[in-house]
Amino acid sequence: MDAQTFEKKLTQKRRGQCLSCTDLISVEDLSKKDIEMIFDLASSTEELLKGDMKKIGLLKGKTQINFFMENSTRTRSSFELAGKNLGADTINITGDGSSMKKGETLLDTAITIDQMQPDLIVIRSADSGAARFFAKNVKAAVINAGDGWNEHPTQALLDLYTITKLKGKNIKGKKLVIVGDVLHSRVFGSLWRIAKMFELSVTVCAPYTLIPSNLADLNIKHEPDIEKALKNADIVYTLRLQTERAAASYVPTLREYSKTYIINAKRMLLAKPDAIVMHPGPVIRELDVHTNILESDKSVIPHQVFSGYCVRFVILWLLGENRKNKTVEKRLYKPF
Amino acid sequence: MQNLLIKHGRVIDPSANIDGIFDILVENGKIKKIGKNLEDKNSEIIDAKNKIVAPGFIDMHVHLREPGREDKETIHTASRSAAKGGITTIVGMPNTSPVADNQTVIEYVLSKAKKESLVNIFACGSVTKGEKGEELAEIWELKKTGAVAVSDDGFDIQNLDLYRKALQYCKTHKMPIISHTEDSNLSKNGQLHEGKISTLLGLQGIPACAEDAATARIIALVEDVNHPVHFTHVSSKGSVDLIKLARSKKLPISADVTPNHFSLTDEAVLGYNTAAKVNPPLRSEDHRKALLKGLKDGTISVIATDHAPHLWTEKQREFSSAPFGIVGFETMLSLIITNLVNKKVLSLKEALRKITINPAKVLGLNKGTLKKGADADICIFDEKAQWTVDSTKFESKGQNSPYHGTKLSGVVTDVIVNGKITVKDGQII
Repeated sequence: MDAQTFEKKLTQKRRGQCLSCTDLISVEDLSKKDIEMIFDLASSTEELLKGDMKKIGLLKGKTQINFFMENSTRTRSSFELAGKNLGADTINITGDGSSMKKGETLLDTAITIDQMQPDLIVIRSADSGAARFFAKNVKAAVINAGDGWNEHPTQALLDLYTITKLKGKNIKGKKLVIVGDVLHSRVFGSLWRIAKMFELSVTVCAPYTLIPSNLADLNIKHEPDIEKALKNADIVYTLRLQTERAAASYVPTLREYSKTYIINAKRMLLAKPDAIVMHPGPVIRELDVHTNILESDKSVIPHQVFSGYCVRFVILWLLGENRKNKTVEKRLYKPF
Repeated sequence: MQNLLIKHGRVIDPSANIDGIFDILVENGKIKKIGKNLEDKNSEIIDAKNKIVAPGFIDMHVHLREPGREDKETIHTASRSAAKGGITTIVGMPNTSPVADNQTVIEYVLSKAKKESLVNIFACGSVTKGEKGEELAEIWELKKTGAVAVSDDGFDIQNLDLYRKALQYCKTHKMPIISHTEDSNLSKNGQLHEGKISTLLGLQGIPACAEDAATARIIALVEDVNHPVHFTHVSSKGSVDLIKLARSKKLPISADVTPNHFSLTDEAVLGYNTAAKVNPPLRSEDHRKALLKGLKDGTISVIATDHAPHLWTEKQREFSSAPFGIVGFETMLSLIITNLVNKKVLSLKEALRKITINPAKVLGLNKGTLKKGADADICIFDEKAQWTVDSTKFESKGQNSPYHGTKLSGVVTDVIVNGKITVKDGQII
């Protein structure tokens, strides 16, 4: 199929629909209907993105700035590639390479970047709330590519997209077990929110040192014993343990952590026979997940990466035309 | 000095258990007489009909920011802001730059106050040098220069051996200690109360046990040394329980709470609202309820604002980079009336007691009363009048208030400081 045919196909499928938000900061910015539309369109992009000719012009003439103040492999490259495939001009700014290193505030950085008239800003920051702060102060559509421990909404979208592709659309009541460092995880922050929307049952499995407080208030179960947690699991979602957590006494040693919480073939026998293993990446082999799972059919981690490419492609397209409609929040300043 | 005659007001003076319609005559800056239908031809008359006439308020926990951070607030602007809120006496905390750990800084603050302040200013020195919690400051000399208490506010002394010595040394020189109560390992890197909201926002929490544990260990020291400690800005249920128990054992312990902690919960932080970022943090509803109970049963005898002005720029930041603190003077009375008096937690008289005679007693100040011969510090306010908070109109340089846009009851109309009219019809003179 040539570029024009693809554009026509996607445009027809979209039927002029828009997302109910102008920025994507939290999963909660989206309605269930929005998410279903994203998935529907994402499935139509797969053929294009796996094909010989990946470039179309749906965002031709638009500008996309990837502003990453933290490291990234998957997220940044998929956003950048997807933007380029859509025909947008993309540039990258990193935290170390920006004027924030010279003391410029996030507010002034936002005001400055927005004067380049970008249509899209993809932002990653170590600070929870930074993406929302940015979104309030720019006319460009802001996509949160991870803010602190808060959220990483496109990760949750690509995860759910992967799940529905493999498990079918009827996922209500399926058991999702999230294993690992839940406390410091923005992936968890978006994953539980989307799981709640689609009525999955959520159990987290980690030592008490690595879970956030008041999970019960969010209707999330905590089962510290991995053997019990894995029972009847449909989806086992592992989170990376940052190695410095051992130094900070969240766990005594990495050795003990891997013995108590690693997902391996033996433990997966406790889950449902068709259970899948997911991970947002980067995976630390033999600490988060054993190679006997990573090299098996149980692992869908590579699928997740491709899903991310497709889902981000769709989100960029859907949010890429909002600049003219968006207003910057008025700042209340008292002169003295 | 012109005599003043305040007529027809409902005078409430908790120190003398007065609540009724009286006139007050002020002569030479002192209370001359309280009675019915007073007349004095030489007096300027202030008509207080349908208003409350109370002793000027005392705020025993404020941050003047001068010396060092005059960009945030000065002694002059702080005093204007206090006067606007009906507060006639304030006690400045020592975490200025440099820290008030020596006589020079105390002397600077007090002499600057004499020249530029509209209200009475007292100073609090630090317990340890540089508030570092390592070596004692020269507490005898701080006292001699005029400091009325010592505190390492902003921090807590973590070394209990040093804390015990501080209590023993303060006992030697009869210097009360004001405790900012926090275990710094438990609270490290925390940004808000640890609970459902910290989980929803993905921010590191400050658990309530960081305050509870520190309260417990300080009470153990007070029991050992038997010297007064005043727990300031109490925020947790556990702390209230511990303080109540300690007071029932007749230990020399008192406590205050800020209007923020009895008015708001951590839900005010949702949306990464840096205006509601404060330390100790706004906690969940169960903690707020415990504070209300503590106010009601007398465990918490004082209300103090912890007025903490910051630059607009500093609060327009990533949540974890924004400083802790809320400006408090101009909303104090209205928050007390709206959230305590109107909600029947405290009677107006009991509420006023906590911002007049009670803080005066804690610090041994000769203030907070309308008894004959007392300094004529008087606040006249309309209990029923409502207003909408506009933080861009504050007299304080700080606009860091979570109440912007909130409708509150209680408007200060006239303020007299040492017999001088400082605020008239809501305007600073």
